[in-house]
Amino acid sequence: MTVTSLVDLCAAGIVLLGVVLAVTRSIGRSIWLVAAQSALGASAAIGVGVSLGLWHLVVGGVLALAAKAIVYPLVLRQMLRASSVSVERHPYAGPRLSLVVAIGIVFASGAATSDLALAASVGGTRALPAAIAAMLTGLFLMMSRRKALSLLIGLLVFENGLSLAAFALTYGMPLVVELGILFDLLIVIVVGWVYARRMLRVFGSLSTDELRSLRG
Amino acid sequence: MTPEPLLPGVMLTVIQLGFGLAVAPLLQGVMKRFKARLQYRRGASIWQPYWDLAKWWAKTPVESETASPLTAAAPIIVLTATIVAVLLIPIVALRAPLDGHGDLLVVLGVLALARFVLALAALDSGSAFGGMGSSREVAIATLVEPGVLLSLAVVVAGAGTTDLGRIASHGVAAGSAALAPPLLLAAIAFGIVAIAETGHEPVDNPDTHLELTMIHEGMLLEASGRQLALLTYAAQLKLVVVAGLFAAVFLPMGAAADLTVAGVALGLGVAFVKLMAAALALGMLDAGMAKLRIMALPGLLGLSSLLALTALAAQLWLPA
Amino acid sequence: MVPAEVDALAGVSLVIAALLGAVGGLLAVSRVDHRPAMIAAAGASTATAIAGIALVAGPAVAVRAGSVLGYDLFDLRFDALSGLFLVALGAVGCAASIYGLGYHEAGRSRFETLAYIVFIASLGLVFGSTSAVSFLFAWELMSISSAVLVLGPRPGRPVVRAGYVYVAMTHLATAAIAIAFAAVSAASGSTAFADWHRASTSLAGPARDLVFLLLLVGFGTKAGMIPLHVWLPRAHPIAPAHVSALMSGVMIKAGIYGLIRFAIEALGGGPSWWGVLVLALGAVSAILGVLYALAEHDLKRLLAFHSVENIGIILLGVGVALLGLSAGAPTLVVLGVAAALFHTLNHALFKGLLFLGAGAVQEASGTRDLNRLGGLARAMPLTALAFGIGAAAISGLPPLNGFASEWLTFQGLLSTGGSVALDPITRFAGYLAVGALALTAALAVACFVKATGMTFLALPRTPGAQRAREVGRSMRAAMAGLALACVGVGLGAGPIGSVLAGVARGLGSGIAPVGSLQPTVAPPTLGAYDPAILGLAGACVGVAILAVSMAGAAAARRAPTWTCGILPDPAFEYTATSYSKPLRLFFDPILRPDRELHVELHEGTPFPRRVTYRSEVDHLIESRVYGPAHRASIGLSQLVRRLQQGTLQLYLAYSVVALVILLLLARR
Repeated sequence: MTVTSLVDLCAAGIVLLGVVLAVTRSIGRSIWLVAAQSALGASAAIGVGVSLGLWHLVVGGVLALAAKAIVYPLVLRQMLRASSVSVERHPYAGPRLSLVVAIGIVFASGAATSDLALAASVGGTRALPAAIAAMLTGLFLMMSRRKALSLLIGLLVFENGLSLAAFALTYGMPLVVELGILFDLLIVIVVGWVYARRMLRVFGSLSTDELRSLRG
Repeated sequence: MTPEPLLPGVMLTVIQLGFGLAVAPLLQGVMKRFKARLQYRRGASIWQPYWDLAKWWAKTPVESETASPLTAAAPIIVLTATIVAVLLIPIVALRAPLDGHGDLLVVLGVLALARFVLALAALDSGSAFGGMGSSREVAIATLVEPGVLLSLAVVVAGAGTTDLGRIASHGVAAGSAALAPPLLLAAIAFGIVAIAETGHEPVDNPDTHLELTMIHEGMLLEASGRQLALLTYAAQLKLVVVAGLFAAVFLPMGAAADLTVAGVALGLGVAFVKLMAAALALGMLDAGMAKLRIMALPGLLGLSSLLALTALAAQLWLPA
Repeated sequence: MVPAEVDALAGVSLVIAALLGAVGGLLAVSRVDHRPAMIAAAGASTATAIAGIALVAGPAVAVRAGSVLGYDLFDLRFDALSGLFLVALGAVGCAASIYGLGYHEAGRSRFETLAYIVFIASLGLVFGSTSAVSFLFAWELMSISSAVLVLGPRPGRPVVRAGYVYVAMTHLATAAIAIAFAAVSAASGSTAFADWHRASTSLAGPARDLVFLLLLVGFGTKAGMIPLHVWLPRAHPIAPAHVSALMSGVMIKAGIYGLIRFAIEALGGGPSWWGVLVLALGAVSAILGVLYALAEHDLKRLLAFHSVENIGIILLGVGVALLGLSAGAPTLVVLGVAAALFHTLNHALFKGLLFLGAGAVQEASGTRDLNRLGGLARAMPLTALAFGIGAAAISGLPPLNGFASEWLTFQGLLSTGGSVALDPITRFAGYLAVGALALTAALAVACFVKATGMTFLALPRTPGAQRAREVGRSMRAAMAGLALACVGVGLGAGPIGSVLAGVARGLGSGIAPVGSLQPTVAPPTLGAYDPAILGLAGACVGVAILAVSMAGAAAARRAPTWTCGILPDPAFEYTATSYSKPLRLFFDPILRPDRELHVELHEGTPFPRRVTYRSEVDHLIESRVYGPAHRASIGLSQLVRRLQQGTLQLYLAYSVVALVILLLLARR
């Protein structure tokens, strides 16, 4: 399998998982889906790194695999177990609408990037639209869900899309930046965990409907 | 500025000072007698002010228990300031005794000093009448000062300098141009505020005995003895100052051009006539007009500023 | 021609000032007792004043301290113009520091003492900065340290509100100045002031006018020009007296420094409407300032409004100079700048003195309200005398210093009116300004007779005033020093005036090409004011009269004031409110006083038990300009508030929409 086709495959997988995430209402299942998405992205990086001999890609990919595919989902699962709900019961956008929007995002990002001429990128022509689709899907997930955990999941999807984009354009990011982003995510997750516990304690639920004081 | 020989300057100082100091009470005496005659009274002698001053001088002043040293110092400061003003105005000759050391702005400043100290001292006794007179006097002064400066500005614009000696010389040299409309307007404007400065009708009634209607007298109410003599004398000298200023600026003809005996003698005579004319004019106003309500004063004194501004506009926009 | 010692004297004094300032800062932080730091500050200020005097007479002094981050942050250059402001800073700073030794509101915390030292130091830096960045740095430092001093330790709610207005307006000023600096730097290609004369040719038309307006807004706010003055009467009453003295005496002059340095020297003037605008704003500031002061009976607020008035007078001089530049009449420029600089110095001296006196009065009697004071001359003779001298000086009475600078301003305005190089409308504006200045001077006399008389003369109106005792030695010494300075500068006005004319002529030699402001014709002899001779003449006459009156006659007798048979009571005295009543009536259209009279009767009888009278003045600028602007901005914010519903997802949606729009735009 060539590098390009590996990347294309992973990109396609990421997009597909993103669409499925848009439809899924169960939070537990969403966590596994996003873990799988991160694993796909990481393995693409590892594969390319191994085949091209770029060690920083391999290291980054392994770290990403460990962090985004294993550790963070486990933390999220822990949070899920602590809270009482496990299903997104009343999202702002229902499953059917979310499906339409997700597919629309895929087509839109495809159209938006089709006329961008990208020279000598390892991702070929499919990775960048996939990355943008993943980012927009992540943002959409954040916008349309009420539960705090869903917001975090959406953030992870967004992050997957971001690293795929970086990967598609420039052989991944410098190691330092990768590390920085990973630590960023760690902090976000930790803060999210603290926040979720507080929300549970104060409101008794993880619904962001209760967070209405951030107004002018 | 060519250096003047000292002796003629000193002589001029002595002559002008002596003249001013001597004639000030006489002006008031003549004014009062003239007023009396206009009112079908006989009136006191024209020398009465001298006798009044002498009488007060001999008496012991009585000061209020609440008074500070200002009460004793104020009459001296006021009279000093007025005398310095006399020395700064070219009355007898076409140059002032202190020529080159102060111009018309300094004259106005020195008069303001006298007013400040007098108004302050009026508050010293803690009586309501002193406060009343003081408060009205400074309030009217705010209406008067712009008129004074603007009407004098007309003259300054024409002469190109604020030095009184040179203004007077310029006025004499201009001859008939001195009757140009802007200067006439300015003279009228200055005349109006001069009435207020010297405290005569229709701004202030110098003969009133009702404290509630007093403006200048109100500030003198608590003064007695020597202090009253000094303050009254200063008020009389102020007439010399204001009339002298009017004459120097608007009617300088007749003043001595050089310091010869004949010139100075003529200058003295002409000055005496001018001052007497001013006194008689004020006396006529005193006898003929009633005091205006205080709220009508901004209208009258504002008219003076307006006239002066019109004169200035005329000078700027109409060809000379 | 200038002896080398003058140059060295300036440099050495500046170094001593800097060292003492640093020592003072260390002392402020390390000791709880603020006095050693104050002594160091006094020493530093004295050195600054000496340096200033040397600089005014001699050549400039430059200090290079190296660059920070690529900017020449501490490159300082003090020339004659800076020197004059340094003299003012030094004199008032020395007096304020000595005053602070005994003043109980000084040194309330170590942080405050440090802020005081930093304040004085930052003022010195402002006057010596040579580039935009260092100027703004020093400017901000000055604003922040003065804000700290104004708020004081543990401020209560009303103090915080007043301080907030101060901080807000000062930052408005800084913003305007920064934008103007940016524009001029862009036009001239460098941020160093020495290169800005290039901008005078490259900036043209509307851009140049805009820069001028920004400078006017920025420096005018700091100076307290109407309509940007609203912070002044709020900040001064709550600041301690010695801080108010420094603020009113020196800090607001930093605005004048900026205008002279940048609008006159760097930009080299502009069309004649600049000068007319400044004249108009100066005249309005002068008249409105003194009118509002007349309506006040809080002593410090009264003095704050008088600062607005005097800034107006200084701006009249600046306006004359701008008109001179626009008409190419160097005489006018020299006259205008000299008048502005002289009044700057004089105002620093007598306003500093008056604020110190007000602080002494407040400390002795516990109140600033004129209606509650009275009779303090008996208990505090030196304070009374010093305050009286300050009052006479600010009223523009000869032979004190206030009259000299007002005389010079009058000469400038009369010359503007008489200048054939200007068009008739501008000349008429000059004459209107003459009338305005005359009105201002007369109103100032009225106001200060009221202030001095009500505070010090007659009987005390309340027990607090009765209990007053003279303040400590250091406070008295500071006031006496400034009073002597007022008298000295007044009597020495002749030589000082010529020195300042020299400073004015020298403007432009540092920044613009040399010779641009040299007068090509000798100024015509305008009029003369020789305070020394006049003072001598007055003294002779006065002594003569004194001698005559003391000869032979008996000393005065004392008796109670006649009050129609009743024992004299402070209730018979005129109050401050009643004293200004005729003026409130005369100027009713501007002041719009609002009068309230309550009469409480004894029950069942028609006999009054208690009568209360209140008269409030409507501050038109605040109610007609700031009020509506404030309400409009709050209304606008309420509208925008509707965007913030409180839902996290909505905010995310806003970001996404913005992102998508950006992507679409980027595609194009």
